[in-house]
Amino acid sequence: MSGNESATYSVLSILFPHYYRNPGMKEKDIILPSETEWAMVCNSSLKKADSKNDELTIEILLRLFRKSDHEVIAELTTHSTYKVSAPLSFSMKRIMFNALVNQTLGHAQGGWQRKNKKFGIANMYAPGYDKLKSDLPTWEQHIYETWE
Amino acid sequence: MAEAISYELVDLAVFENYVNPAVTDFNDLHEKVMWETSFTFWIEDTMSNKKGITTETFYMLYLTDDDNKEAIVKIKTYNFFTVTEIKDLRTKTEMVNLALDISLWNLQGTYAAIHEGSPLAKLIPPVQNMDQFQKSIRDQIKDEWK
Repeated sequence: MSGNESATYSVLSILFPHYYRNPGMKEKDIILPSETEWAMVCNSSLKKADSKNDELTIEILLRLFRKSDHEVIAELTTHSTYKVSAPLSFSMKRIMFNALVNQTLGHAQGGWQRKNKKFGIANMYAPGYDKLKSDLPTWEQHIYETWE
Repeated sequence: MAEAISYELVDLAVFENYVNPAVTDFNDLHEKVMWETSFTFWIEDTMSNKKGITTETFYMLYLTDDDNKEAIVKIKTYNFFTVTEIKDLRTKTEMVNLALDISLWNLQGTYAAIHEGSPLAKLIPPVQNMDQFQKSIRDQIKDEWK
């Protein structure tokens, strides 16, 4: 943490602008987790909400595909927007950014379960934040360049 | 965290999903409603030498000027995580806090997907601040996570 600095935030919206399920999949189809892989893409954008707040949008695309032929089984985009207090130090922005990516991944897992609720893949959950963390260096550069 | 841990979300289910049929206009509810929340968790052994953390989160949206607190929306979810063995109490507490946080985020996502396209989607359940429950969380972990 950075000294006594604190940050507050609230969730403004959670949207699912894109959802796709392979039309060849039936409700009773059994797909073994060992035969699949997850891909995740994370993007973010920022705008000034007012003099005391920024608006940070984090978008996560989750894609489940078959290992053997890379055919997409299903995919879902989650678009979460947060109001974050400003200004913040760079280290606090980093903490907030990571925390909100983690929270958006939670939104994505909940959305995935619901959107696929009649299908077996509803009970397959994207890996946790540990996997996404491997992209951290890129995100830090992104925060540095865009979150002023 | 002091110890390296590995956790996995294994199950997520919606136990209760209720919308009061008597309430039909959700457009101007922002000023008149409040969320009431509760959560619980428990720890158990699993077959795979891992610990299991189960959480239950219950959120109820009710009218603030309603003495009877008749609910407009109720949502209850269940999450189950497995986690590798942890020795240190502080790390165990951090893991349970994370499991509770993830459960609440999952609930927010589930709620948003259930009410997609409805004005209710704008009334997102808030994330419960766990700080005030730290002592009881720690005490429960001491008792249950041997």
